[in-house]
Amino acid sequence: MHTRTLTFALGLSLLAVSSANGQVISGAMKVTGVEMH
Amino acid sequence: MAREATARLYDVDENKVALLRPKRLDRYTHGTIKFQAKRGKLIDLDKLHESVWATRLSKGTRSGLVSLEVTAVGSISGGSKQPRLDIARSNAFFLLQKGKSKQERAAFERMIETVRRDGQSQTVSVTGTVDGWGGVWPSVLKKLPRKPRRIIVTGFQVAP
Repeated sequence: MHTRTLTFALGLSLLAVSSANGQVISGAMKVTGVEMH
Repeated sequence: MAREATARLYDVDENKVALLRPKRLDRYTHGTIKFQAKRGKLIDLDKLHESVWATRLSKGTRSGLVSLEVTAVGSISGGSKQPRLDIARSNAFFLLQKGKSKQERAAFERMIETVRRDGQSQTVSVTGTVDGWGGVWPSVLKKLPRKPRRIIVTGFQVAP
């Protein structure tokens, strides 16, 4: 759990800056292996 | 985790990120993460890739990326042989490809016909599947898909 929180914090810090070279206005990512609870 | 990775992107409207699970097969099933940019912003696919990579999704989970479909707005150039979509308010572009299905071919041909008839300067919205974005974790995350980015056109409309 601690590792996961740390990972999220890392991702947040990496991505806090807005991109000046964006490409898309929306999207849909199809994924497999979604864990059901 | 991929949903959270998408939602925390600066340019993504976190209130419009949704995980849709249309069909329950077993404990591990498939789903679609829908996302949308904040008003006036554009989402960078490199940043999206980087964000999902940061989750360190690993093998052995029977999970992966099936496909990524995006919608982008801009103007089309390059003619019918290799059309490209130049993104409005950005230096980015997509090379546009014709797909194999009947629906994909129809969308592509409608796009080419519209541009030929009405000219290249108009603003259009193109939806398509991004080439190279697919595979199981973690191999799909190890390196960025090739550039220039190509999308297989699945939908097209002249922007209002």
